[in-house]
Amino acid sequence: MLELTNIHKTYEGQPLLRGISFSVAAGETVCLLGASGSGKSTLLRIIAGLEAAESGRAFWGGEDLSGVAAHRRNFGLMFQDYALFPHLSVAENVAFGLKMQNLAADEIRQRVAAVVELVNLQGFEHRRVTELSGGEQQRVALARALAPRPRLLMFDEPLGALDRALRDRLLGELRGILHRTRVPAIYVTHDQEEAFTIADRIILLHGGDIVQQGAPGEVYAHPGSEWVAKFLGLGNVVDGKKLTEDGSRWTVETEFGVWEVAGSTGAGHGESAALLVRPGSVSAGEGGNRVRGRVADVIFEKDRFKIVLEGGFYFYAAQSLKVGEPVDLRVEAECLP
Amino acid sequence: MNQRVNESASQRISESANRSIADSLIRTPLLIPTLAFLGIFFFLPLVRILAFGLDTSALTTGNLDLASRTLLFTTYQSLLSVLLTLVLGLPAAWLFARYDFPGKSLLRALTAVPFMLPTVVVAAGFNALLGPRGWLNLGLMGLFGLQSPPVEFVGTLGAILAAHVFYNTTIVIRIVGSALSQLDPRLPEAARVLGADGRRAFRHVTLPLLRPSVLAAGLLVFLFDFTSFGVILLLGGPQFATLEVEIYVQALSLLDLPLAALLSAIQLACTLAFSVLYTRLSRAQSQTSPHPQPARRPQTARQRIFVVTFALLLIAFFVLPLLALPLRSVTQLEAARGDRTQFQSGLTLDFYRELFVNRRGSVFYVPPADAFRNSLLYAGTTVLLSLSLGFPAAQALTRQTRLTRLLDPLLMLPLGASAVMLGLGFILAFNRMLAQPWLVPIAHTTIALPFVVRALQPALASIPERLRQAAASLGASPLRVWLTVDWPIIWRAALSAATFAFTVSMGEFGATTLLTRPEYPTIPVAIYRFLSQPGGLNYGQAMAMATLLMAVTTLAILLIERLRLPGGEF
Repeated sequence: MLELTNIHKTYEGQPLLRGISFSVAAGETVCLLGASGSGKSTLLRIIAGLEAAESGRAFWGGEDLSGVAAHRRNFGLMFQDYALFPHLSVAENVAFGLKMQNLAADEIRQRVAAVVELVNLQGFEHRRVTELSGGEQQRVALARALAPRPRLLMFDEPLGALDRALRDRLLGELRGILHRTRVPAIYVTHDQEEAFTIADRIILLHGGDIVQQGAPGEVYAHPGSEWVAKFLGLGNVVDGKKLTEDGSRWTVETEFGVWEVAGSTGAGHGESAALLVRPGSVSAGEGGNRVRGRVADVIFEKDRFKIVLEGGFYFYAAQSLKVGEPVDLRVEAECLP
Repeated sequence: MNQRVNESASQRISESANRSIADSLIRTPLLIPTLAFLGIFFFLPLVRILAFGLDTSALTTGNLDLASRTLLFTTYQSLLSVLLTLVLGLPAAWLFARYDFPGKSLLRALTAVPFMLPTVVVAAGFNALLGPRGWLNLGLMGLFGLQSPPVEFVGTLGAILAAHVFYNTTIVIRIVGSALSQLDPRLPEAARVLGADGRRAFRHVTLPLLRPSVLAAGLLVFLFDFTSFGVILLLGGPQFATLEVEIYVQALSLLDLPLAALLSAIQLACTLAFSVLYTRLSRAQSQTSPHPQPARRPQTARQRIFVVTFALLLIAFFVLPLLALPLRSVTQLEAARGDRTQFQSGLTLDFYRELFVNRRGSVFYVPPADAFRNSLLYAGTTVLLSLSLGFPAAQALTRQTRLTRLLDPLLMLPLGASAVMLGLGFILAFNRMLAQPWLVPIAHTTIALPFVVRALQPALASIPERLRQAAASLGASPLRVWLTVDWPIIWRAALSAATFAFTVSMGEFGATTLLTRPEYPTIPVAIYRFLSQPGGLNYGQAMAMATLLMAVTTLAILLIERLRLPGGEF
């Protein structure tokens, strides 16, 4: 449905987006994930028509959007901190887009009521939006974006300002609503948990480029680079130097000793190689690659303990260990491309 | 051990509580001279006005009829003025809030200058530009060989409106401009994404969000236009009888004091009502956005055209009258009376020289040099009086107690009273002492006092007690503490307050015209007399005096601007 080709944008002389291309299929929820300042909000504004790209084009169903003004695109955008109209009531906020479509008062009333029910805001219609809590404001913003039945929904860090428990609940509701309405959506966040929860496809932005994209499980299983593994917090990234190569088996020298890993393309002999050790692959078993060290810190995490060794290597354990205690662990390592 | 530490701490706390009670006991008497002064020279005249005006002898049908007609015209011209001020001020506010361009801060400062200028200077400026002897008319007469001035400006409603716009545009720029830059730019964007084009986004989102600030600015401008006096008398003439002018005419020319008092009572009721409304409105509009919109260079061709044309328009409107005046004061443009056939037009200092020449023969002769002496004397006295009354009052108000919270608005009340009304009140209250020239600086002090207190109070309150304690603990005597801690902060505020009082006194026209004796004119009074007399020489002298007054006032404004502490708005 939506297709972007080679979008470029500079901000205060610095390149912000350097040739972004991707598409969003019907009913698909795509998540743009990246650190703050990575240009993801700007990308949304370009798609919405609020800002112009310096080069590159956006298409909707094959139609070039270049000459289409923001108010004619029929895309919904939920702003960070919501940008609700403070002078209007909840119902008037939700009705705004319908009013702009010059619908009859009766129809507006019916559709506002339906959307208000969809986001669980019954009884709030006549409240002032400035009196609402953060979560309630978020629902109004969602209802306002949904009401005109946009062709595409965009979310700019929609849960950023909320506390964790509320975030988890709203995220679930949002997922449900997106699935029910089947509206294609672009969801911008810097929070990987949010992204993995809601996305059909994740697009990772870094340094103005797309560094990786794919289904959440795929991205999780095959991080495309050292940066991706670190940004997603997939585990310990251990630096090493490649020694020998025997088919797909490499030996790599690390701070914990020489390890044997399944190799990947790239590094030559003597070159550096980054290894990923997922905390789940750490066990107390015999043989294999070993990590030896002393416990520096033990952090309680509900049903498990996070054990951090001197030097920063971490893993999870069912039982607490003592600080200072020596450990000797078996780990599985994978080579990062 | 621990016990003892706690004990001494609680002892210290109760000591400091005792000290703050003792403190307020010491501070409150500081207010007594100021309150006594205001009681005699503000509230007593006010009570006399009310007593006179609401007396049954004043409430005749003729009087009520005149009063209602005058009230109607006052409201009419104020509304028109507000409308025009908004027409110029709203785009100007948009210009300053949204766009960056070279010379922006200078232009912004320029639009604020008229607000502090004496009314006679503004009136003289417009007269020099558009009056019968002004640049435009003399220029057109010279060009086309006309016998009479083609543009009729002075003596029309248009002149009054133009001067009001000139005065008050800065209010709209400040109030609406700050609301505009506080407006979250994402709100109109949200409207556009929801299907509103630029026009509808403005109508349905931007405009309603700006409404409270526009209303507040409009109401404040209305208040100023409603009570304006000098501009109407000098540019409109007595036929444009607003409440202020009618009070003046009734009191001074027709000597109908009960009617003047009745009009004053009506005016007072109106201004009070508007002030209350304004306070409500300005409290309601304190909405701050977490995403204020920064001003940007104009991007599109349309934006560039708007910025350039509107900036030029503002420059023309605000520079021309201020420039016409000094230029007119040094230019001979028409023949002196008696020799219409031949004269040299060109630069001259004659008008300034004439100020110091004692010419005989003219009937209502006012020695101009004497007016300067009087004005300086009055201003000096006003500065001394208002500082010696304002200082202790500001000191007492630095600490918020229940008493000061009650007294603070009382001290500010003279701000709401008009100058002509105050003059009338003085006439009613002190009619036996009217021959005394010292009534004038006292009236000026009453007007300047709220400004002086407002200038001093934040500075005095900004001196942290801990700084004094630190200095004292380092072994400084109380005098040394005051000299090293208090004085460096205070002198700026004191100088600023003094300059304020000086400026108010130098330019004050309304109360002075009612109170001053013919033999003790001030500069504004002298300018008014010169302007209302025929002849190019009188006109030139009015221009020269107004130029000097403008120079002095502008210097004072610049000084206040430089001395202003951050956050110390008037």
